[in-house]
Formats: sequence, structure tokens, C-alpha cells
Amino acid sequence: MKERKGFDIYLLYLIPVFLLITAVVYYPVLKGLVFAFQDYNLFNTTNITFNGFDNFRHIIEDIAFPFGQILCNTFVWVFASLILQFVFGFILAMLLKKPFPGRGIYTSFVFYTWAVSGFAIGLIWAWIFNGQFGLMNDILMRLHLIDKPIGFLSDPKYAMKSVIMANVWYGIPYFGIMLLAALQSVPEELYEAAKVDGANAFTRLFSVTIPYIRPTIISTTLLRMMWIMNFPEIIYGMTSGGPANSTNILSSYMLNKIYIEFDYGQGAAIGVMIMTLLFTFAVIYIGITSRKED
Amino acid sequence: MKKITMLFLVAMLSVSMVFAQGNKESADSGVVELNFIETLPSPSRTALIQSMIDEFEAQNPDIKINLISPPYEQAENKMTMMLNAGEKLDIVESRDATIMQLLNNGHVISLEGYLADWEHSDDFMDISWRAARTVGDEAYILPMIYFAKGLFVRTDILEEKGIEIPTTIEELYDAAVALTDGETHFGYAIRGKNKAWKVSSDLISLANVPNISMDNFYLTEDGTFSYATEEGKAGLQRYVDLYKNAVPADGINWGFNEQLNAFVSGVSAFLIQDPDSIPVLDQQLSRDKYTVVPVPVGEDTGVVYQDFAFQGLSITSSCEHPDEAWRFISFMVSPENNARFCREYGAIPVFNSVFTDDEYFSSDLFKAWNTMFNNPDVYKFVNYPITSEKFAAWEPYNQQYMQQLLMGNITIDETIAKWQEYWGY
Repeated sequence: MKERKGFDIYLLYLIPVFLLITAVVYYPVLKGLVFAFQDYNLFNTTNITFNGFDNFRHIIEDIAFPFGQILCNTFVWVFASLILQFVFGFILAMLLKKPFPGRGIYTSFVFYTWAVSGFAIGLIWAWIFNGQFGLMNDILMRLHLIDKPIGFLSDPKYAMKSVIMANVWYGIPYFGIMLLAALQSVPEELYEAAKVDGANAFTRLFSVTIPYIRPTIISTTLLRMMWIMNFPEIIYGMTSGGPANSTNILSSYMLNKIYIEFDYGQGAAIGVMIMTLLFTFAVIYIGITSRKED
Repeated sequence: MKKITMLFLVAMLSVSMVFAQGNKESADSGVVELNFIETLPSPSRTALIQSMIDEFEAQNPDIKINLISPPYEQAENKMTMMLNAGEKLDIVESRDATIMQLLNNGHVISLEGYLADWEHSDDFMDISWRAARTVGDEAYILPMIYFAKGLFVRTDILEEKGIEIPTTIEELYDAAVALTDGETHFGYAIRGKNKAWKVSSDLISLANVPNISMDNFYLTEDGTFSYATEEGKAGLQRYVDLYKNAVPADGINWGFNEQLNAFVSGVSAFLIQDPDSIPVLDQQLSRDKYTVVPVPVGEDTGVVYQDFAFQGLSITSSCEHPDEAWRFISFMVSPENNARFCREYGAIPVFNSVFTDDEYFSSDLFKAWNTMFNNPDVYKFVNYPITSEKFAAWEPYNQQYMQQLLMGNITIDETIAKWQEYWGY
């Protein structure tokens, strides 16, 4: 009986935290869900009504901004960025694992990009890829690889590749930091034992290193996937989703709906779609990765 | 340790009580506090407004102005949110695109009574009355600054090539094409993204449509969609030709920065822009290299249409001291303060006298705007359909199809049909 009473008191202690989390997390999420089913436009806030699935229908059926194209752009943006960031981040972590003179300073320089804001990166890369006086064009022309400047951000053939490149540049350090920490936790004895058994560098990587840091790989890639999907800043700074929709992804489309069209209802509906997509991804991803662990 | 903490708390408590008392006293002594939100803040602009507030408070010790400056991206949303939530706001910065929303939601009051008694009302340019009475033929806004487009010209390049400054859209096209070599030199610094229609594509394309309605850039007086007229189609075709023959392909992605960069670097010799480009250009180009002239007119019509952007101040309906609020806003927009504000902000002032009396605004460059604002028969400042609920989403929609058109993915007729369908005209 006495124990039971103690438990109640603990619950009482949890109330403030519960209230705080409700106020700053669950309430806004719920409010966003409600917006998604309302005709909520800042143009006229005196007349807000529920409109069922109209917001979703409008977004999916809008022929000016083909939903299929935006969805496709989102997948390309997320997975191409994620895979490239991971591969280069992994290579970076492997290179930084071995001690060399000045490693500390070098490491902090390499990780610097992670600290720059997304909008600033968008602006920097917009200049690098500028089709008239951009650095990239200048380098390629001096190397005689091209005769005349390429409109990296004005040609749909290159626009998505260009924004992904900026995003990869930005995201490599994240994987570098996380994977380096994990790599440093792999016990040296395992490698020695593997060497004794005659394993070459390739086998050591795939049979020792990767299985050992698997949990880190799973959690970092999952987190990063969510962040990239919700990361329109670079696209905004470089192309605003253009030219002609070719770099528009769900989250940049959502920003347009809210900041340009002031349509909070449709903006929230896109938000709900993003949330649903991410949730589905996460469930599938965790399902696949945990099954392999058995 | 406990003792120290207790002492600290007691000290805090007494300090806060003193401050609470102080506030009460100021309320008792009859000082009126007014909350003023600015919605287009930038560090230098906020500092300028604050210094004007300080001057006002020194002259009017019975009024205290609390300036609220949210970050730029959120400022207008913040204003709307505060007004909707019933938070205390007395004066708001309103503009062409927001005044309708403010009035629809019942947030602002009419200023007609105040304007009738104001000594400077007679000095208003015609356009100032139009701006004030944007909605419902009643003044809900005290205009403060204007933006309208002028044609910026690289006089040094034109001189070198022996080309005259164009006065019609057709001459502009010919001159721009003549200056283009396809590699390093192009004629025109186009705007490709972020409100290209508002910056120049409508201005260039529609100048030869004879009877565009003053109330709606996209309708003629007989109710036809402006682009669906013969002249509108031909004009849009000329705009596409201008892009193809006098602009680098990259121009489709050019925003403000890229446009100015092309002009400064000499890649492009012509630029259609607002007066706020002048301070930026003055830093990088001396005035013997460039000038500003009125925007070119249509050859057949002899007129050119453009909208003008304005921003001003409004008093909220929840304001308990509208007379004091008027004293403040009429101080901010007195001719001297107006000239000072516009000079530092790179905008066009609202009074006739500023163009003759002020040293800065009587200079050569601003003659372009002076001429345009004084010749309403040639330079027609038309309104966009900003009161339409479709207006806000027009920007992404227009850009989508204009970029498709410039890339050659769709035809002129398809583009116009899409736009017409959007507006339902």
C-alpha cells in the first residue's frame, strides 16, 4: 500500500513536464492537423471553416504544380543526398581515424560546414553555380572541359544535381562526426584477431567495422533522412524550387504555400503528408534493419 | 548559502516592485504608450525608425512609442497573429498587399478625418491620394514610400557602341539585341524568379495593349484578359524573344542580386528596377557610368503600364488613443522626415515639394520618377488585382508557366490560356 502511494507521488512530479511537452509539442502538432482540414487563409481569417479533404485534393490535383513531380523530386533529393553524404562521410571518418600530425585542427576545419546555416549555404552555392560568372563554370572553362558557361541552376537537367551537390557538401561532416565517434569505439583486438585469421582490409571493413557500428549507422541514417526531407533552405536559397518546378520538394512547396500564398490550410496538409511519409519510412526502415539483426 | 539566496530573492523582489511602481506612476502621469510594429525591418531601417521615434518622444513627452521589430521573414505574419489574438497594437506598418487583409479583418480605422485637417495634405502627389484610398475609396493608410520601376542604363557601354537611350519598348529590344554578342555581352538584365511579373515581364509585354483598366493590370476596359488580346500575345512573344536574343540562358534563375550583378559587371546594359537599387549601384558604379530614365513606352500606344508599390502607416481599430497615434504617424510622414526616410531607404517620397526642395531628390537620377509621376497620361500606374483572393498564389503560378515558356516547353497560347484559366477572366 505504501509503495503504491509513492508511485502516485512520482506521477504527480511528472505533471509539470507533461504539461510543458503538451504545450510545446503535442498542441502545435494537433493544431497543425486541424489546420490541414480547414480553409485557413491569412487573406481572410474571419471566415475559417472545415473543408474536409479539400486541401489535400487541391494539392494532389493542382496541374500547375504536378504532385507526382514534386514527390519524385523529394525522393531524389532525399535518397541521393543521403547516400552520397553517408558514403563520403564514412570515407572521411575512416581517414580521420588514423592519427596524423595536426589531426585535431584539421578535424575541426572539416566539420566547420556543419555549423553554417542552410540559407547561407544556399546563397554561397548559388554563386558557385551562377551560370554567368560562377566559380564552377570558371573552373570548367579554364580546364577546357566546356566551351561556354552552363546554366546549372537555370537548366532543369542540372538544377537538381546542383542543389544535391550543395546539400552533400553540407551533410558530409555530420556523418563524419557520428561515424568517427563510433569507429573509435571498435576495439583494436577485433582487428588483430581478424588479421590473425587472415582477413584482408576489405573483409575487415565488412565483417568487423560495419557490423560493429551498425546501430550508429541505422540511427544516423534514419535521423538524417528525416532532416533532409525537412530541409528546404538550400533549395530556397539556390532556386526557390525552380526552374519550372524542377527542384521543388514537399517542404519547399509547403514554405511557398505558407509564406507566399498565406494558405495555412494547404501548408498544413503538406505538413501532414510529410509526417505520414516519414512515419511510414521509419517503420519500414526499422522493420528491415531489425530483422537482419536476428 | 541559504541566507545568501534569500537575500538575493528579497533584493530581486524589491527591485521588481520599484519597477512596477515606476510603470504605474508613468501611467498616472498621463503618458500614453503606443505599440508600433514594423513589418519590413532591416537593421539600418530599424535604427532609422528608432532615431525618428526618439526625436518624436523628445518633442512629445506625453507619448511613448514602443517599437516592435520581428525578424523580416515573420514580421507580417507576426502582425496578423498579434491582431487576431487581440494583443495591444496601436500602429501598424501596412502596404499595398496587406491593407486589404487588414481592412477585411476589421483591424484598421479610416484616416479621412485626420487627413482633411492636415496641413500637408495639399502637398500630396496625386498618386499619394490613390495609395491612401486603395480600398473602398476611403483612406486607411498614410503612405510613406513608393517604389516604381525606372530604366537603368549603362551610359558608358551605350556610348562606346554608339547606341541611343531607348524610349520605346521596341527600341529597347533592338538596342538590347544589338549589344548582345552571345558570350560575354548581353543587352538586358532580366528577372527570372521571385516576382518577375511584378518587376518587369508585365511592363514589357503589355505596353502595347491600348486600353488596360486602371483597376486591374490583367483586364482591358472591355473586360478581356490583357494577355489574351492581339497586342498582349505579340508583347509576350517579344518578351520571349528578348530572353532568347539578349539575355544569357541563366537569366531564368536571376533574382535581384543576379540582376544587379549583371548590370554592374557590364554583362547587361539595361535593367528595369526600383529606386532602392540606386544606393547599391552608387557603391559600385560611379554616376558617370549609369543613369536612370523613365521606363520605355509602347510604340503603338505611347503609354506604358506598371504598378507601384507603397508602404505606409495605419492606426488599428483596437487603439484607445487614435489622436496620439495620428500625431505620431503624421510626424513620421512630414515632408522633412519623409525625404530623410526615403533617402536612407532608397525609396520615392510622397510629397511634391520634396522633389524641388530636397537636395538629394532634385538630382538627375530622380527626374525619371518625377517625370513619370507627373505624366499620368503616359505613365499609367495601374493596380494589380490585389483584392482578389487569387492574388497571393499568382506569384508561384505565374513563375511556373513563365519559366516553362522561356525554356520552350509550352507555347505562348498555352501559357496565356493557363493564366486566363487561373484568373477566370
